[in-house]
Amino acid sequence: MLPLFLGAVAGGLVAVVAAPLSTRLGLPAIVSTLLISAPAVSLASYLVRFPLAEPNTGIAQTPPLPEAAHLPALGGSGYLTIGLPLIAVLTTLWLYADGRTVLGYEIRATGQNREFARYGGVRVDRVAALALAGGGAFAGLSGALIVLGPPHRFVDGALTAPGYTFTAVAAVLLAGARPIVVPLTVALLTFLQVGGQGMEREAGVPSQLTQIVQGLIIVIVAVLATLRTRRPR
Amino acid sequence: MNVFEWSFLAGVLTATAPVLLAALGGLLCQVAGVFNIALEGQLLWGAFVAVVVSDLTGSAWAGVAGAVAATVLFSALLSGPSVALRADPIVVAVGLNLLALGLTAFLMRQIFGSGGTYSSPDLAGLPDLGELGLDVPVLRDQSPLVPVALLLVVVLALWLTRTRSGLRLRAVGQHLDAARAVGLRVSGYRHGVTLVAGALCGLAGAQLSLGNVTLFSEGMSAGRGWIAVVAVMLSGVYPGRLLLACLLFGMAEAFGFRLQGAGLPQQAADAAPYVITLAALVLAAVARRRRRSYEHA
Repeated sequence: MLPLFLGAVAGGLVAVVAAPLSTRLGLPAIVSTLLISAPAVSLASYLVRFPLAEPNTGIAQTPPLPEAAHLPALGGSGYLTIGLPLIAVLTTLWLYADGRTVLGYEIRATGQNREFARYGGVRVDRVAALALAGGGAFAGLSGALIVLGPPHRFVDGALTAPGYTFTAVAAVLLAGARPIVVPLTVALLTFLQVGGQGMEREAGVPSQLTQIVQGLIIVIVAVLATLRTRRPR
Repeated sequence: MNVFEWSFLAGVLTATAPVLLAALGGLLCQVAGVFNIALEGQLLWGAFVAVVVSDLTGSAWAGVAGAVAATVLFSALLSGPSVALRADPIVVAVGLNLLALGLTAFLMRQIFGSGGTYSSPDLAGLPDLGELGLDVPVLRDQSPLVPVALLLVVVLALWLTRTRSGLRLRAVGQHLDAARAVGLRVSGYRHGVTLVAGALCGLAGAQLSLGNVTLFSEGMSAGRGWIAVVAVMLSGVYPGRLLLACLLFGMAEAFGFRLQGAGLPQQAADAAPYVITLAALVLAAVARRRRRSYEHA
């Protein structure tokens, strides 16, 4: 559990650096976090290539983790770990926090109308920093879950190459500030992605089509969202 | 000054050019109040089309023209939904960046038969200024698009401050209702700048894939479009400041190459532009705050 916890803390710390960029300098979070992410990715890539690399292999990966650090596996396939139920539990907790706690209310209020939230006594900059840190912590946790599951080591690029992050951003944009929808949009996009890989193996359809479809879905949903809000007028 | 320093300056200009061209497009959009973060995707798309057309025709200039035309079309995917249909430009841009990444990787496999990196002797790169008769130290090894980029900074600055249409564009960005009240076609201006930004990103992409190098590799824009977005946010409506911001980035990239030559790991070079950009952002904010406190005193 400790590595998972530290992974989340590390992710949160990286994200919290982006907070003053957004709150004080007025950079949109999507730009400030991207600026922070790039050096973080470079640093991780450096660490795994040199100080922490598996000796004498020349491959950019760490040595395998000791048996005791592996996440307990579920079922016989070897792919499923306790990560999945853990994510389900955390999603439930997160939905509860968003809908039923003061912090969740403050975050929503800040997002919907920053000035009104400030007027109502919400410390909006702190709430924004907390939200960013929370997002970073969740991202750090997913990184830790991936590394502690099979293949039980950090391989350079294994976390960035599949595009987990932008798929997640896309899923959130699709859900459009309706948290309950997020698990559905995540499922939609990951089905697309995994299905695309399957189609490449089985039918020779290039998996890059997945990204094209994802991009188009986002644009189309963005347009549909405006039509929905305009209709009543 | 010795050769070492001339070559460093040349490296700075080479690294600056694509970012500057894309950022000029971003600045135009910002002036008109359109938030354009699709620069990264457009840059990548432009770089790809430039290589495809140059490879098919054997002419680098055809490649440049193709890149500009194709990227204008691509930017219509941003201007249509976000200006005409009023969809959230950030959401649309994220979708378009993803689309560009997938589309270039997909078409690359269809057209060239393999992914990764494509280069070939059939691929015509842009000529150096030295070959065209301009044998001046720093400019000798640059493509003709580099002086074009620098010239565009001046043109844009003059246009925005000295012409009727330039001032009207600024009005559109500064006060939408006032602009509308005097009878400006606001959405026309906004469509216009988004498409022109597409053309500039096409030039930027062509400079990247036919000027800086002569090849295409997946994801070769490598964050330059995002750096351009930040440069735009640093510069307000002033093309001069934009040039400085982009030069700073170019310096960071050229310096990163030097570091790599000096034995530092490649990752330090990769991170350098971002770290420098962050530092510039923070410094700019501190300077702004200090200026403000003087005014209040």
